[in-house]
Amino acid sequence: MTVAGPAAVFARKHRRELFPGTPLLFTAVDERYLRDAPLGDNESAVSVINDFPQLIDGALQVLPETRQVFMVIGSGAIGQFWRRELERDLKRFSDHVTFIWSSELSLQDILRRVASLPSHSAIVYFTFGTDAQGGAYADTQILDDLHARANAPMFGGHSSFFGHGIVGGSMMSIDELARNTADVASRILNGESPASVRVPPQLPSQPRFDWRELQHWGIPESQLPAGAEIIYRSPSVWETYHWYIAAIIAALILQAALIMALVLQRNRQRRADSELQRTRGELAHVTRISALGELSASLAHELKQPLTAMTSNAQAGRRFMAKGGPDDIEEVREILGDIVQAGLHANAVIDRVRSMVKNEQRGAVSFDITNAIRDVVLLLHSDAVMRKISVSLQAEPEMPAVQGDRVQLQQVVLNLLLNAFDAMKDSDRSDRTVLLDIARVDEHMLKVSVTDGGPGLSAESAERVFDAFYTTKSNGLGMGLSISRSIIEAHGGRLWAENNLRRGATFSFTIPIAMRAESITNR
Amino acid sequence: MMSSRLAGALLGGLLAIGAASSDAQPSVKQVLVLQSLDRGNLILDQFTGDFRIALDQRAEEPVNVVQVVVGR
Repeated sequence: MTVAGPAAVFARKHRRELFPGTPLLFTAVDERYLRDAPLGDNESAVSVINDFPQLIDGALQVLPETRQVFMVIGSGAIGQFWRRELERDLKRFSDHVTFIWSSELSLQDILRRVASLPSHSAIVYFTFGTDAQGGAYADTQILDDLHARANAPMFGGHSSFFGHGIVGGSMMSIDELARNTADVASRILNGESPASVRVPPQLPSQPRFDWRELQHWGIPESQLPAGAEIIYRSPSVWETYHWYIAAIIAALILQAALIMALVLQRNRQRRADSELQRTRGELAHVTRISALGELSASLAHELKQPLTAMTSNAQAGRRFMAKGGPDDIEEVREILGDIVQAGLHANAVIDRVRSMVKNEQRGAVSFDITNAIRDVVLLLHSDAVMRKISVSLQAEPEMPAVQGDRVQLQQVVLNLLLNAFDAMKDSDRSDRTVLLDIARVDEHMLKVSVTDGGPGLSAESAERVFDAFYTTKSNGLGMGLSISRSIIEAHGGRLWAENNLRRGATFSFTIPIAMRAESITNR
Repeated sequence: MMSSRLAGALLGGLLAIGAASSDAQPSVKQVLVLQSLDRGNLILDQFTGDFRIALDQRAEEPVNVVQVVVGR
């Protein structure tokens, strides 16, 4: 088997003396050679049609501005042969393209030339072998050096050069040539007559291009021939990491959706909390009004005392004025002072009632819990007297201010006191005592306890006393303690009940101490 | 007329085939590859490598391939 033209010429020349009866297979020979020297009976061939003008056409299609082509070709016999063939084939380009041949140059000169080619140049690489100085070089070395130094794109006619700095084009496929040759060789080895094994010549394959070289030389893919295949394309970030990117995007979308859902839920929760707070405030107001309504008789009595005193004093004053003596004037002055005191007392009663009746949004403020509870005790003073109940208030000195809504906390105390009063309605007179105790639990909390002398809580009451609509009173709504607990919990405290050891029950709640004492408000 | 160097190479190839024929089984087939270029030519190196592999895949029996460079 011969490979390429020179070996074919040699075999034909010396066949009779070396291997006269052995089948001969020519491969990698140009079809033109076989036209000049047709195959004999004991010969077969896998020929090629080297279409070098097509190679130049392809390069000009990719780089239409090209005006100069530097032809890298060896200086040996094969190089000289192909230079003659190419000069004849490429004549049709001579009016617009200048061809420069490397066959008279040393390798160093070739490398210098390719590094300083004028603009609109291209390089075409043929097989090399030896340079003008007779130096033999491997193709891979030449291609690597050319690729490193060249200032113009490089083309080649054989697939073996692809991947070594060649831009690409329509190339003769060497692996396909090897397979076709092996097909024919194996048939001959298996006994077929060479004359019966005839295969068509092989043509250059579909154009292929090296994506890296296209990028390097800035050649747009739109300039490539139709159907061109692009090899060595670096995968994009998306192509390389699309699963990771998709997973990250999915996670981000999921996270965003989750955050959005949480924000929506939080907004809904806020609206619900706001609505709940408003409703609780209204309910607290209603129950406050209701509690004060229960106190109407005692409040009337509380107001009647100063009014009666004012009336009596006024009548006495009129009598003294009727006498008109100098001592009487002094008496009248004292009487008028008593009237003023009685008026202030009545005014204080009305202020206390009005402050608890008002339904207005109040923010959390710091205030003196002892004073606030004392006001409630004073408000219930007449009721306690009428029920024959003794109320005592016990508080540590220099009690710190608490943080919260003064009226709401007063409402809790009012409710606990009224419950205590109701609980003792059947108790002996000696047991009708209520003790209000204000004590410090720790540096953060105060505790207020209301201890009565009633019968205490039954097992059922102890369990359900804070449930809404649970009451032991015939005329009760059962909301007082439920609202009281919700008020205390809204303040960050706790409300609970327990039976005393001897008799009666104690209702206690805790309330946070204000962070800064200077904001104390005593309303 | 062949040069003495080329004749030597060719004789070596033929002797190699002859030795393989006598040493190995009688059924071993022989291919003498006369190539125009020496190793280092990228086209030839790829061609001969691919050819040997493809021939091994197609041949029913072992094939002895000997490469000789001629016609440089």
